[in-house]
Amino acid sequence: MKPKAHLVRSGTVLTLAAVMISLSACSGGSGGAASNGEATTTLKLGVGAAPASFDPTQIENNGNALELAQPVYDSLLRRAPNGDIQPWLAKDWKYNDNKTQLTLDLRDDVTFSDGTKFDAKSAADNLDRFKAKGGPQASMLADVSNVAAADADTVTLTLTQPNPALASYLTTVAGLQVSPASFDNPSLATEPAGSGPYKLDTAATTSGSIYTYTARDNYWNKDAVKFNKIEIRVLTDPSAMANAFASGQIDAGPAAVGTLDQFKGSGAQVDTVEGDWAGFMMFDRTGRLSKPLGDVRVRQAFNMALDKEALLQTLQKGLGTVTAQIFSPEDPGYVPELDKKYSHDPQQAKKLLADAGYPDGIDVTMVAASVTPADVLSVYAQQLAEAGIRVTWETQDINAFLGTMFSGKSAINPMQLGAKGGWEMINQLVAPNAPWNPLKDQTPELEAMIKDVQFAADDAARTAAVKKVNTYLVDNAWFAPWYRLASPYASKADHVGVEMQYQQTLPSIYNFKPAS
Amino acid sequence: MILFFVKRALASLVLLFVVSLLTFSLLNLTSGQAVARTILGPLATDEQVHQRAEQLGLLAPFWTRFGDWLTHAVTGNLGRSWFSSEQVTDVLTSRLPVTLSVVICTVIVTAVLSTLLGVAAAVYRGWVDRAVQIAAIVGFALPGFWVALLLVSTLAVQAHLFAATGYIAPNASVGGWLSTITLPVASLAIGSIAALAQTLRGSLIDVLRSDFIRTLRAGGVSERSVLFRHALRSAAPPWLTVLSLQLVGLLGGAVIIEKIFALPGIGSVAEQATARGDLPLVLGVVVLMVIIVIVVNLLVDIANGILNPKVRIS
Repeated sequence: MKPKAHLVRSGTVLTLAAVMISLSACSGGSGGAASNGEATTTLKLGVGAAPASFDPTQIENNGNALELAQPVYDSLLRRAPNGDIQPWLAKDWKYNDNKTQLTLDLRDDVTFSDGTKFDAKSAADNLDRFKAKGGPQASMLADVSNVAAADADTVTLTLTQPNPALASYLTTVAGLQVSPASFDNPSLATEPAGSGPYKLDTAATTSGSIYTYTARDNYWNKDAVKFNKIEIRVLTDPSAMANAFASGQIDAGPAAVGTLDQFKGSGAQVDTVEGDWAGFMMFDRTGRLSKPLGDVRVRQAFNMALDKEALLQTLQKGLGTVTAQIFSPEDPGYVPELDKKYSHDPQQAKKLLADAGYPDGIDVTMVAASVTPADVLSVYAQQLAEAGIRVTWETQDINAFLGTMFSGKSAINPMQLGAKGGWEMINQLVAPNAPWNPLKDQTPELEAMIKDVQFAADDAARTAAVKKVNTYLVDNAWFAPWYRLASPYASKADHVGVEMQYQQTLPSIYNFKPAS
Repeated sequence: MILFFVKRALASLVLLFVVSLLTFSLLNLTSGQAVARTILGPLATDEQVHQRAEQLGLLAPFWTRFGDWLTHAVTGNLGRSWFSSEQVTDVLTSRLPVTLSVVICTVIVTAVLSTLLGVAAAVYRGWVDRAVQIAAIVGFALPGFWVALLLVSTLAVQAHLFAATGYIAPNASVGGWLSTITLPVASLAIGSIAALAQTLRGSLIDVLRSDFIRTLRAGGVSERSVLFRHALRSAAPPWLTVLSLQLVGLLGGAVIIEKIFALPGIGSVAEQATARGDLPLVLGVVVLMVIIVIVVNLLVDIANGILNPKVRIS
């Protein structure tokens, strides 16, 4: 005898399934993407990482984090897509003659989202707070000894020494303005209070997942507000980003190199911006940790050992430019000829090693982040071996890896770093006390050249001085860069127009406009 | 009966203590300075890093730090994330419903479909049994994430029937909620259904062959009653045990699915917190998981007691 109850059950299950599918289909699985050419008033973006905090003093990574802060915060100065510094909350800015005082002339028509008026005192208090909080980027204002509100719309920053990058810092997190009424709000990390064009819609926001911003009234720059609403989704998985793009949940987002085919298949327009450079960070140029590295010929050998073109093709699908310098084309210190300085020549590398007193080559231990795939490490090792350099890898988890580098225990290791403008780069990588110079390498010539950059009388003199530093660094093989990476950014051309932003993998919010 | 619950409660507290101590010790292997450096990034000065390490209490001795955490945890204060400064309890309460949504729906779908398939295989035998067994093997073999990617590209991206990413809460929109959890549930359920259908099939076949079933049939009890009132109840315990193991396993397996579908659940926050060494958040997740496992085991024991008088205490 065969019971029939299960037939009833299976019928129920099938009906239930049918109901579920139709209910979900009705709710719009496509995420409500606008079709048939309607005006897009919602900007839908994808980002690869959630913002650490809406408190500007705690934001670490500029290139990726600014896009999420810009809807709600204004900065004192703004950076145009090509890198030029432009007025924003400050209408004008100028230095005194010996560049130890920067005076900002502020707008007087700006209010924060909570109604507080923006003035010189709030600007001064914000700058003081940024420095005092000791967050990841507090060193941007390290040279600022005092900030004073000269009158209601003039603020003066006094410096202990000239800092050519200061105006540039004021276009990023150091310049973001928080409403003073929220300075001590313990929830500032999740409830921003700024003067930006949008307000965070906390009801439609899920921290770490989706951030919704709605345009606010009384914003001082109506032209900058091109959308009624912004929706930013956090998609940490590259395929999730590609799927969200293909199904219409986002109109633009960063495209990981491995998913480019999928993006192109969905009709994406892909633009690229060169933001990072990859290469060997040589921390030990005096031979303290690894004697051979103290000889410039050995360091030059490292520069010639790898087949950078092939690596770029294999690892980055050719997106980027082979280089031997750490400065990028948009920076005044860039010297085009230096890109070709060291060509791939293992035999010449071996000869250099022999000239330096190592006819049998050298042995070196390098640390690498454990996230680096083992087969990539073995490719590096193989190519280095052809040049007479025998590598032993020591992989460490990311925390330990960073710790090893900054405590000066690593002589040389592979690394990827964001490109920076002239003085910022020198200050962070090359100066004797630079955070990326833990062994405090210095030479008298380099120090003199650095001073020339710092005290340059005008932009033309500074550009020439940075070029000199750059040439010195490359001739003396202070680094062994492989290539600049071009980060792809995908967008739906029929929904949004976007302009790439200087040294930011994610474009500024101001660079988006509706397609029509 | 009371004694049963009291003993359970005590055992649970010991378990919670041991697991949190173990987790604390493991994460303690990275020095406080290194974590502070990761929080602040490369541009902070050594002095700032030291200051932040002190602020977060990272430089105190191990037992002081653990004791501190424990005394706060028992009052319900799990501290703040070192990286985002959010209250750990806030993060967990906002993310738990998402993961539970997916896991509970998967368990329900799994329970229903595996019962269907297991009963069909055990009762009909023949080609039905073989078909179910083959389907089970295929279900085991297919990796959950592969199924997920396949479902997303066909049903979400191409056919626009479901959402490709994200989560909509049921109180915001039931249709939206279904559109966001159907594919994750389907991806997770396939493996579970395979395991449970096989388990039920096996134990049901055994039970249907046993003496007491033959006696019931001989006594004139209807086949339907034999199957649903008697046989299934006896065959249920192994199936229930595997179901509870599946549920616990799903909580972990949800990590990959949450990543693929960008669901703001416990799995994704656990993964990120562990990678960064965000101790308060990792401890919070671990404590939560242990509590869930304890509750699930308790429920399964009670269900077993209801179904099978032999295991009851009194």
